[in-house]
Amino acid sequence: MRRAGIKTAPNRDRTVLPDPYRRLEVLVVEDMAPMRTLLRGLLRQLGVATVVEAANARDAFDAIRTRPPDVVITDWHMPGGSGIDLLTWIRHDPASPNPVLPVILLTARGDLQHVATGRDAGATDFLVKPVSLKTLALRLKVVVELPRVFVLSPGFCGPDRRRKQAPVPGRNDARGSGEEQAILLPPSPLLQAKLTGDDYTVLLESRRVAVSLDEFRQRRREAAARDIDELCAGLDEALRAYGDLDQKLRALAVPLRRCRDRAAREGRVLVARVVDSLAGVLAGPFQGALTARMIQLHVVALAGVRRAETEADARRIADHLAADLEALAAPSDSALPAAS
Amino acid sequence: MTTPLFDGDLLAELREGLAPEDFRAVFAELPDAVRQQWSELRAALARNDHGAASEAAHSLKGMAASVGATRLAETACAVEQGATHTAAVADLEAAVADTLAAMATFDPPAQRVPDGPRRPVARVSEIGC
Repeated sequence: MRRAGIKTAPNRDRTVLPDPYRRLEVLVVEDMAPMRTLLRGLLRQLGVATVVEAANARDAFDAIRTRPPDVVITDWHMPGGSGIDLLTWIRHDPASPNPVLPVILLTARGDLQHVATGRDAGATDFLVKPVSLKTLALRLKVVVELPRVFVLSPGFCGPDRRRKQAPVPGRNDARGSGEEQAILLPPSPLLQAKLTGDDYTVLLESRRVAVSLDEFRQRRREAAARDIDELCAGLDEALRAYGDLDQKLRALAVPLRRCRDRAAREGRVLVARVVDSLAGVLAGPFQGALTARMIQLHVVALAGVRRAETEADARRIADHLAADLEALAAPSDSALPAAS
Repeated sequence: MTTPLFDGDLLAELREGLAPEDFRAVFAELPDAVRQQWSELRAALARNDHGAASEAAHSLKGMAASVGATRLAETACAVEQGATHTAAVADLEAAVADTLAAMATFDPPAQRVPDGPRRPVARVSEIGC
């Protein structure tokens, strides 16, 4: 396979990226207008022709869904959604068009703890303020020309956190990720190929990444379904052993938390709503038959949202069901009178 | 020794790194952004919301650090880290006023640094903020 590469012409006068970088499309996410202007100006000076701007994380995610850029540079602290939130949506949200999109986090703090937080959220690289032409050029070159292994796993989605040079383990090898069923994408020359106009490599790499992403999404759906099945089976068992219901329900804390954490991490709002509502019922006062009926309703709802995740038609019904349950299970609701 | 208002070296870097119109645009937009963050910070302190005050101070610090407004960055950093006592806030208020006044004297085409002779200034990322 042909390998794309970017030749760097020596330039002693000033910091400029090699000519192919003019094709790079960068999304700058910053809530402060002067900072957006500053970054756009620096990128232009570096020769990057296409710079798109967003003033907050939500607008940025919409822009990414409309037209994914090649690289995202996002501020960390922003009102209404941080750079870490944006990173999480890009890496985990089912609506994300490209979970492997390179993301550079911009921060005023460069301490190790801060960097580790960003790295664990899946950041590709960091830029510490103040940003200079030189540091910006260097970070972009690293992202484009030194791609790393990309880990797709239920608990972590991002470039391999180990920086050392080591052979890339085969696909589906979970070594180092700490999780079963991780998919490891070898370093992709996709961006370099795009910048150098190597359409053949772009096509091959795009297909390879797309196949891995499809496989990852399928596994994620299956894992989520397994979580729900396990929780429902536990609830069924608890309801059958009615005499020990209270005790059996307490044993379901772990699968409940797993369901809730996964749903929150992956932005699966319907599941999160039903599981949160169920958690509220389980945490509330035990009221015998009334509690049992509420649990049965939640089991039905969980089956509904599980279906809704794969069948678009079932989504509207599940949405109504979730809303009804939330209203029923709300602590102030008269459907759940205090135990006498 | 009082920290200089601006880091001359960083300003020089920005001047070299940006096209003149972009340099002008950054400093034209900066005063409003500084005023807005300062106003949010004061409002947060008035309602005793230290989290929001710290966030506003952080934004102010990051913005100031990016354009070499060293004194503003340093005083904002102190408030971000929890120093919300009167003296720290007064220092920040003075830094905001002095920085805005200095920026008003900027002459972008000539790109004059308003803070006298250059000397080594610690960058915000180097002073533990």
